[in-house]
Order: sequence, then C-alpha cells, then structure tokens
Amino acid sequence: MIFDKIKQFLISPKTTIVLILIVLIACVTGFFVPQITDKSPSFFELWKERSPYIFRIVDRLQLDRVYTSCWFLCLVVLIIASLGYSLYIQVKRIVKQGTKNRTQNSELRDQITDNDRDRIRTVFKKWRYHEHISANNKQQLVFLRNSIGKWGGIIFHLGLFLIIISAIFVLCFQKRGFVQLIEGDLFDGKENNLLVKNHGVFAGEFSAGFKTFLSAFRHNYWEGGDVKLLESEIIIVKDKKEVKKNLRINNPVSVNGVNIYQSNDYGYTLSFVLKKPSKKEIISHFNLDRAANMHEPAIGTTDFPETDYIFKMIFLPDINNKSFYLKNPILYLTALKSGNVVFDGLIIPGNSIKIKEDILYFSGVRYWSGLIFVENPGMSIAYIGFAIALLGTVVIFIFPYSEITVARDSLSNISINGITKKYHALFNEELAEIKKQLNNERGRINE
Amino acid sequence: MADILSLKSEVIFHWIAVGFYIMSTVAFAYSVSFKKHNALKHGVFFTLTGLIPHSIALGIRWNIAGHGPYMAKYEVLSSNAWMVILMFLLIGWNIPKIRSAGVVVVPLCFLMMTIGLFTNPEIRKLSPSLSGIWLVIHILFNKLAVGAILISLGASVLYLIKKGRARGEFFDKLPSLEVLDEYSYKFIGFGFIFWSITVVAGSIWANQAWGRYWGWDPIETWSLITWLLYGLYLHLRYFFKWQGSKSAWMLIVCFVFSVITIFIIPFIIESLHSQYFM
Repeated sequence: MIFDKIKQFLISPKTTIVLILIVLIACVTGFFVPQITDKSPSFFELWKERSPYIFRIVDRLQLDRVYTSCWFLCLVVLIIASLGYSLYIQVKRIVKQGTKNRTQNSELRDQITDNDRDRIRTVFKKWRYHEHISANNKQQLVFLRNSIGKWGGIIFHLGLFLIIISAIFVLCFQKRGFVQLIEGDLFDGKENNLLVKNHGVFAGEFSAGFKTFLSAFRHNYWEGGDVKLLESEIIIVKDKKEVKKNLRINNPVSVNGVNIYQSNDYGYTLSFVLKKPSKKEIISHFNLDRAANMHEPAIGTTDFPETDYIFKMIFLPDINNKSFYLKNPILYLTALKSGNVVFDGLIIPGNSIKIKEDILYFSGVRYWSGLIFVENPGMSIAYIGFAIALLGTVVIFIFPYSEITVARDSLSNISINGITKKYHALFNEELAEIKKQLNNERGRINE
Repeated sequence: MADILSLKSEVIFHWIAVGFYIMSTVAFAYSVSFKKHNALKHGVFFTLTGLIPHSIALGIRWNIAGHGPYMAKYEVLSSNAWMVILMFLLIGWNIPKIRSAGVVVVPLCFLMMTIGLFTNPEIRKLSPSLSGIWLVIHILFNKLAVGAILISLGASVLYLIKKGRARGEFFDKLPSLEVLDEYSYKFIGFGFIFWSITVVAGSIWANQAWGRYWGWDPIETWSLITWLLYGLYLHLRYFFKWQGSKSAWMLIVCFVFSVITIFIIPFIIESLHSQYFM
C-alpha cells in the first residue's frame, strides 16, 4: 500500500511541477544569497558580526552553500527517483502500446479494395506518412509519421537522468587540484604537492601516476594588453618514458584518465639564496602573480623560511618596456626583521645584497604556470547524457508522432481519424487537408 | 586608416538598417492597430530591405575584427537582432500566417540594435578561452534560441490581441486562436531545443577551458533558471493542459526571464561571461 503511494507520488505530474519549482527556487536562492564558494571567509565573519540573526538562519538552512546542502542533495535524489521510475513506466507503456492490436468495429466498415488502397497510399506518401503494415487489415489502413516521436520524452528524460547521475558522480568522486609549476621544475603528481584541492566527498587521495615537467611557458598579448595565448610546454614522465605535450587554454591534455588544463593564472618565480655567517645556505623561491595591467608591478609579501625576515616585493618583469615579458627584470625589496626595515632598495637577478650579517643572492627569475589536474570519472556519462537529452528534445519537438487510420464505412464513405502527440490544432488542419485530398481522389476511388 | 573608414561605414550601414526597421515597425504597428492586412507586406518588405545593410555592417565588422560578432554589447546585440530578423523572415516565408508576429519581433530587434549602437563600438580581441567549435555552437544556438523565443512571444501576443478584440477582417485573416497558440508552443519547442544546445555546448566548452562543466557562475545559474522555467511551461502545458491565455501569459513570464538571463545579468554582474559582454 505504502509502496503504491510512493510510486504514485514519484510519477505524479504534480510532483514533477513541484520538483521543478523547488529547483528553480534553489537556483534563485543560490544566486541571491552569497555562497561560500564565491566569497572569502572574512566576508562571512563580517556578515555574522553585522546581522547574526539572519546569518544564523542562512547557516542553519545551508543557504550559503545551496548546491552542496543536505536538502538540495535530497532533492536531487528525489529527482533521480522520480525520473527513473517515470522512465520505467513510460517505456512499459509504449512497449505495451506497440504490441496491442488495433481493434475496430467491423460491423460499420466495408472492405477497402486494393485499387483504393493504392490511391490512399499515394496521398499519405505526399504527407510523409508510412503504412503500419501490421495494423492494416481489409477494413482499415493505418499510417504513421515519426514513429520515433513516441520515444522523444523517454530519450530526453533518460539524457537528463544520466546528466544528473554524472553530476552526483562528480560531487562524490572528482579529484581536482591546482599546481603552480615553475619552469624547469617537476610535479610528482602527488596529493600533497597540490596547492589547492577540490575533491569529491568520497574521492580518495589524488595520484596522477605520472610526473609532469614544465620545460617552457609562453605568453602572448594583443595590442591593448589582453592575453592572446598562454601555453605550457610540458613533459610527461611515466615508466621512464618521456612524452612532450603542449598545453593551452581550451586545449587540455589527457594522460591516464587525468586531464591537465592550462589555467589563466601564471606569474614569476623569484629565487633567492640566503647565506648565513655560519655558511649555511637557505634557498627559497617566491611565486608572484602577474599584475592585472602591464604597467603595474607584481606584488607580494612573504616570510623567508628559517629566518625572521619578512620580504615585501615589488617586481617589474620589464623595466624598460613595461611588458609582461621577463626582459629587464628588477625587484624593489623591503626586508623587515622584527618590524624594522633592514633593507630597502632595488636588486636585479644575479646580484647580491647584504642584509644585516647575511648575504642575500637574487639567483634568478622564471615563470610559473598554473596547471589544473582533474580526474573525473563521471565526465563520459555527462557527455552521453548531453547527447541523449539533445536527441530527445529534437525528437519531441521536430518529430512529433502522428497516426491516422483510414476506413470505409457501410455507405462507402472514406473516414479518417488520427491521434498526435503534439500540435493538435496544426494536426487537425493537416487532417482536414488530407481529407480534402482523399475526397478529391474519391471520385477516382469510386470509379 | 582603412580600418577606421570601414568602421565608419559599418556604423552607417547599421543606422541605415535601423532606419528600415523603424519603417517596418511602423508598418506592422499600423497593420495591427488599423487592421490593415496589406500593411504586413510593407512591414516584411522593409524588414528584408533592412537586413541587407545590417548584414553588410556585420560583415565589415567581422572582417576588421577577425572574429565573429560576439564580443561586447555592440556586437552581441546587433548580431542577435540580425539572427532574429533572419529567422523571422525565413519562417514568415515558409509560414505566411506567422508574419503578423513581426509586430512584436521587429520592434524588439530594432530596440536591441539601437541599445547596442549606443554602446562602445570598440573592437575587442579574443581571450584564449574564447575559441573552439563548442564556443561557436554555444553562441550560434543562443542566438537561434533568442529568435525562436521572440517569434513565439509574437505568436502569444497576437493570440492575446486576437482574443481581446477578435472581430474584424484583419483578425479573421490571422490564424485561428488554437493555431496561434500552437505556433507559440511550437516555437517555444524550438527555443527549448536551442537553449538546451546552448547550455550543453557551453558546458562542454567550459569543461575544455577550465576542467569543469558546471560551476554555478551567475550566467550558468540564470540560464538553468530560464531552462527550468521553459521546462515548467512545457510540463504545465502537457500535464495540466495550460493552453490559450494561461499559456500565453506564462510564456511572457518566461520571456522576461530570458531577457534577464541574456541581456541583464551578463551586463551587471561579474562572471565568466563578463569579458564577453562588457
């Protein structure tokens, strides 16, 4: 009993409408309420401070993380159940219809002669109908158009079902990480060397199974300074074999089921060697993001490892031409120790400066390139779903199913009636036109 | 220098097209307001004539820019209007009964173009992510979706007008209320297909460019909202037999949401699509 009610609920049109409405409301909420994926933690801290009551409601209802909230996931599960079960019911219904014999009232109908049949067929052929041979008999002819149209709804919903399944897959098992790879450096493909991670709920540790070496990074600009090209020349090292690949935005590389994408992020790596009086050498590399504008410097502040120094860096890659290219690099460095400025001045690569009792050697500048590593087992399901859903929409709206039955009553009148899945008024107009054409043929039929 | 001259001529051609679309708008409005069926022919003629300088203007711009007209408001709005006009003329040629929908379609196109012409006409260069076949499909089908939705809106508005004051020779020559309602449904069907292809192609493009096919970016969210709304419309029509006036009004609501998605959100909110629209 309860199962029947659940089944009824899942395929009820009202359920469909309500589910669509709830997803709509969720999307609108996700748009208007700031989401944790878009804003910084400090934004939410401030919000909590300023309006604690509203913040508490938002937090309790998980409105600041709508698309990963428990209620949204429950909604998705409900959609899957509803879609899946209604798909099953629809398939069952169509298969049943296909095997059902068309019945007719033989008392009212005369037989259609072979001669008439040919003429009727000619008219229907003009309207792109084909004969349904198995439904034909001596008293009636059945013509069909776009038989596939019956399956349109099923095909579309199946595609949608697969897309949602793939989205769940992504949410659960996707592994995604960002790496700042320096020219001439190697990424070992391991989880702990990813700078930023965004893994699915049930995804294990990321392990690419290969190493990636950045041999060169190229960048190019339009006249106004907008980026024209970002390209990383990488070498994939796997099982002692090396394969060279070029990576560009919109042109990812796939290795072992792991896709590598060129990110929009790149910048400069400034390398230093700090020589202590004890002759100990500390080597450090600092990555600076490139500036938004080529007339502006790249800026960064960082601690120098194993020391008390704080470095404030203002870096220009090309002091002469003010471009993004590493042509005439120069660094304006402010070094602080315990809050006091211990060095403030310019330094170019290959030069050394004295900071208190230490020697700082600016060993060089290279590019770093942002690479995104993604392992996504659900992607192929998504693509199949996309293709099926699109095919379904095309079938629904461009190939609507129609069926026309032609019979002759006891007064020798040709009668036609039809059914269609879509556009009933237009179908009625078509039916009237076919009737007219059959009537024009009628004189010939009756001869 | 040659480019500047070409750009000037492109602007002139655009304004000539606007002139013809204004005349066309007047003709369509006259035909509906004064119930003069013959004026529809003039409306179609002016629209067709306007399309010629419009095409030349877009062709010149394409040639100078080195990419299709889909960067910044100026190009986006003009090329959308061009696609809608072209679709309207082709459909009107195939289904003459639908020509009267020009009373809605042409003024909206004229409006789109004019708004575009008052924005910065500077040619924008493509960023590396704006390339590839999926981008072309994404943009092309978005424009087709706009066209189908506008024609459907035209049919719905005609339905409401005809239902409101159903008498007169002009209205007798229009398709029956049922057929107008069905045309509106049919074109929404096309719009739904095109919108779906837009979303899907955009997702595949996003996956190629950034390694994810959905990121709840404001435009992505709003395109999903619009798609769901059309889905709601189609389900209400199918299951609850929402036809006639109810369906026409629902379609107008859907249209408003489409306008928000295509023309408002990208222009006011920072998103991945900003560089394309701003």
